[in-house]
Amino acid sequence: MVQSSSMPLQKFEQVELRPPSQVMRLERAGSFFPTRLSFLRSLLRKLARDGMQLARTSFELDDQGYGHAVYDVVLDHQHYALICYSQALAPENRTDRVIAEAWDACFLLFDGQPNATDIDQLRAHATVQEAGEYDERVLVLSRANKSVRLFDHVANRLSKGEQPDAEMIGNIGYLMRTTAVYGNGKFGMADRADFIDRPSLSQPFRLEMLTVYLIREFTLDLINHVAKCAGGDRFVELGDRFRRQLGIGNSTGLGMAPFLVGHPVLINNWMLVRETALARVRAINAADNNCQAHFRHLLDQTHQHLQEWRVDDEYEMGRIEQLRREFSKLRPKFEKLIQQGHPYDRLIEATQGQSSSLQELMVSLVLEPNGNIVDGLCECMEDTFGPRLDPLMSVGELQRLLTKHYDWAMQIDLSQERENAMVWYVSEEKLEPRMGARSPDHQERREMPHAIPRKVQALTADLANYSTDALIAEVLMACPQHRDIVRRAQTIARHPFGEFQDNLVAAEIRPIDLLRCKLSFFGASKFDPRSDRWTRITLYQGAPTARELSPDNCADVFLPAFGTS
Amino acid sequence: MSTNLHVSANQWRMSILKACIGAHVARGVAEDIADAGLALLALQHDPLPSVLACLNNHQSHTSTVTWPNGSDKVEFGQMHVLHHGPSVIDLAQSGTTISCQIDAPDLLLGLAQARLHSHGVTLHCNFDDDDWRTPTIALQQINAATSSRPFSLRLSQTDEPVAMNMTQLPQPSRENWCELQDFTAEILVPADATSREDAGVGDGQTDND
Repeated sequence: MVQSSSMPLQKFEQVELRPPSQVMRLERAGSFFPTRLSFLRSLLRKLARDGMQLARTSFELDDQGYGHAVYDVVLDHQHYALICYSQALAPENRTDRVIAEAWDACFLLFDGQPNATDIDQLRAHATVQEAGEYDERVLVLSRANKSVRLFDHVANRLSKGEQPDAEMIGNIGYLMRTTAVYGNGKFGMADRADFIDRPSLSQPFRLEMLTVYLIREFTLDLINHVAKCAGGDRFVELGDRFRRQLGIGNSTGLGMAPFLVGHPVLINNWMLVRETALARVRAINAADNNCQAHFRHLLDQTHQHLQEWRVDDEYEMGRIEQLRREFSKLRPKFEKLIQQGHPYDRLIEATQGQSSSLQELMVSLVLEPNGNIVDGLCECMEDTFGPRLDPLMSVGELQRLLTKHYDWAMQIDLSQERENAMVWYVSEEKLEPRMGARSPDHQERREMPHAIPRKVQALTADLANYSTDALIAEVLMACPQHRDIVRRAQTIARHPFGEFQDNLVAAEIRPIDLLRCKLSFFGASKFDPRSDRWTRITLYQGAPTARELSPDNCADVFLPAFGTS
Repeated sequence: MSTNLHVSANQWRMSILKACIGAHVARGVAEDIADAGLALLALQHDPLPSVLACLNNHQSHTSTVTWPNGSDKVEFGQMHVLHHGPSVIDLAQSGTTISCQIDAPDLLLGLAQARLHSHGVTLHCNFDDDDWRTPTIALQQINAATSSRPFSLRLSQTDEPVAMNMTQLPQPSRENWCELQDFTAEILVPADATSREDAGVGDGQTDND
């Protein structure tokens, strides 16, 4: 935990961490739920603690809701502005695919307070998204499409003086869904290095999470505006209960998956924080009455959430139904265990032998009442180092660490066609990562570097030709093709939670597991896979809106459950 | 928005990396060259002319590097940075003094500077004049004459890594930047090079985007 020099370092008891061989499996990571360590949760706590100052400084929309709006927010005395451009979109052009060229709304997070000229000039770029040109004043770029069915329903009801259908709100959960949220230097925008020294922004994806939260505010204002213009005197505002239940949807595809492979130190830090938090909680001797009550409330909320979580995908619905059964069966036991000694350790143990979904749901549950000992870990989730090569390591030492950390990769039989069936590449059409069946003429240089077991086995074979005393520097001069996997293996030896221990080019690979893992760290819920390669989710559903956000309610954002809010 | 091209550090790094891979440079070497590019940018030096020159010549190069003989000083012949620059830095970091002629002295200095940022390793160099300089100073002194002279590199000290200032980077010419993108295009794959279903074409729904 980061501490100022004037503060004594607080020590926490903890049990042994779960090993990477258990945690870093795709099937498990694909069962993660959001936790209170998730990025949107830590942002909400920050905003509430600081007394969020949000102002709508411009709202130039016509009766249809087309035009622009600007929201100004202050973080640590620094102004940031979400500029929103809303436009008409023909139904046939409304697609969630990343190759879309038009959207219902486009957004920029601007560093500072934009003037009228900025807003006007930026419109031409923001509304074409990737085709625009940006500079360091722009921090985040995003776009969203309406959930037309829900948007029209809510607008219609409010215009008649009625509140919307509660079940419909609960089932869909958002008025707009983003189809991309770009940051960190994309398209010429500001690099993370440009603002990393601002204390509010050091945590990963903080600006992206802020952007989505402000987009949510815009959608709530937009629906009221459109309904009011249509209904006149009959119009009523959307009720607070519904405002809170409307989050922001998101469609996420394969583009997110390679990030987890390409940032091993960062992923290690996310995982290590999560596992350290769990290890701390499992060491707690007893839960006091408040924690017990809180936990029982969370069980109620979880039960409701699971009942309300319905998806079309048969495989995923099967997993959800199994999770419902397991949760209902064990819930009485959970209610007893929370009253006993070492309650959280017992709760975790009670889920062993059940599905990984229940096991990981319990991880999220036991962290929830214990913010006082886990929230500070959120300061440790960034990567300030990156992968490093140690050219002075001996061949013998590298062989030892390969045996220790990559035994799983050595055990894979690469002579089996299914172990090399897929290829990850970058599409010519949109410069986006994709995965496809490997063709015989595929060029290796066009393959993204995700075939870790193949690389490890090739390196191991060549190392056998060297003396164990030889320097890695000498090996790499003769074999530059191993440079990336040597750097990676050495990095993983220091950051063992940075590598998923599965073959990412095997025939049975499910990229959706990678997506869910990353999205859970964002704080996403209601995972709704549309295939094994893309998913819809919601962000901020059930979270306090800006006008009600306070230190008292900012933590009350576990899994959205309409029936208990 | 200004009409000038604005390239972020992230774009710099990813474009150099992809361009090198597009030119058949081994990925791990390409990663180091990209980091060298960033280190040069932090010194307000545009790495693109050197990178482009190296990439354009890369296909025709054959390695003439001799194997280290275990002495504390290694003499290389003509040395091509995209093949062996990172390995030369590795060996210099081990305490071996390297002497060679290189095709891109500023990129090699960038590699030396990057190792300062990532590992805290300070390397010094000279242009066959026994005047050992830091990469920063050497970069300021590079000219046509020094570029053609033998170049020596040795370990000076090891300390804590030094952070780079990656704000206010020099910007490339649009022409150079577009030429770099031509190399990055070499790694792109048309969607229908794999099955169309995988490429997300068909029912219009997202399946792979």
